[in-house]
Amino acid sequence: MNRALLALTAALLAAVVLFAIPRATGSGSDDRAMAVAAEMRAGEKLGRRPFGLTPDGFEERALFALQAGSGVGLFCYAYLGLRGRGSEG
Amino acid sequence: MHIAEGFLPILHCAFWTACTLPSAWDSIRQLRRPEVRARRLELAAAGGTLLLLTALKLPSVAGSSSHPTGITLGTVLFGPRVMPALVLSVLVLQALLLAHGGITTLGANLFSLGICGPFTAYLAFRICRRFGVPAAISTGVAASISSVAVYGAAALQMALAYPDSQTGIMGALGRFLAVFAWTQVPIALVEGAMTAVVYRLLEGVAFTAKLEAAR
Repeated sequence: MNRALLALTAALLAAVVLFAIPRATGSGSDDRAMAVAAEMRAGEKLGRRPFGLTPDGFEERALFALQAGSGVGLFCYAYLGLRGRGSEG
Repeated sequence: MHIAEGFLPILHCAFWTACTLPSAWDSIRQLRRPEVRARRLELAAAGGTLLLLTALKLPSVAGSSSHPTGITLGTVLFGPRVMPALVLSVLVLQALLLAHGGITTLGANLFSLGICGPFTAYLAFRICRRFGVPAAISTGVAASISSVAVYGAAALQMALAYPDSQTGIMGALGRFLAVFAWTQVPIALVEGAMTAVVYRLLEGVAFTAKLEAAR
């Protein structure tokens, strides 16, 4: 099978697995640290998100699974390429 | 962790951005060098590791989350000067699409993850190798130490921005570090082991560690 296809398969598998893992604390943001800082400047609001984008729950998990899947795919593509190059040499 | 959008005062944002600009510019120039371009597959492997590990946000007992940094593999393969550009691309992606980090805090996050972390990893790797520690284990140790260093830098940035009213910057720093320590120390250990395994994996398929060549 060609290495792009293999890498894509690995990326999809990783994304599905990572999406399926339940998160014990919901959105899993850096909320606690931000809350500590917010206590120190009482009365002010927590940090804004750019362009009003505030993914949480399903959407956030999907986006992070996509990122992690891309990472796995990219790594697999590079690894298979390096292995192929090594066997050629 | 990445500091969230709008969280730091604008002067701090400007300061950290100014601190990172020279390194980011230098790093982009490093990526254009022929010897780096010739090793695009290894760069892709380092980028893939960075993308994957920074996406693995793990919940902590304190209710917060932390994630591995994934910067050590690229540092060992290409040296710390290449890393700011790689990290910058990931930070921009996360800030725009994932609400992880932010645009105004890009400079601060780049400083901790793209500069402080890689240079710490570089130093740790070199020291380990000087003492004769095997390369894979040195990489793992460097990954663990740099992971903690990144979070230390982030905690310092936040403490500088929001010092405690009674105990000052040091008090705030202690509180931030305490929040992160619960998750980040175990994550750093796991990241060290994972990075060592990935290094061994790549070692088997003919790659050139820049730092090895430099010894």
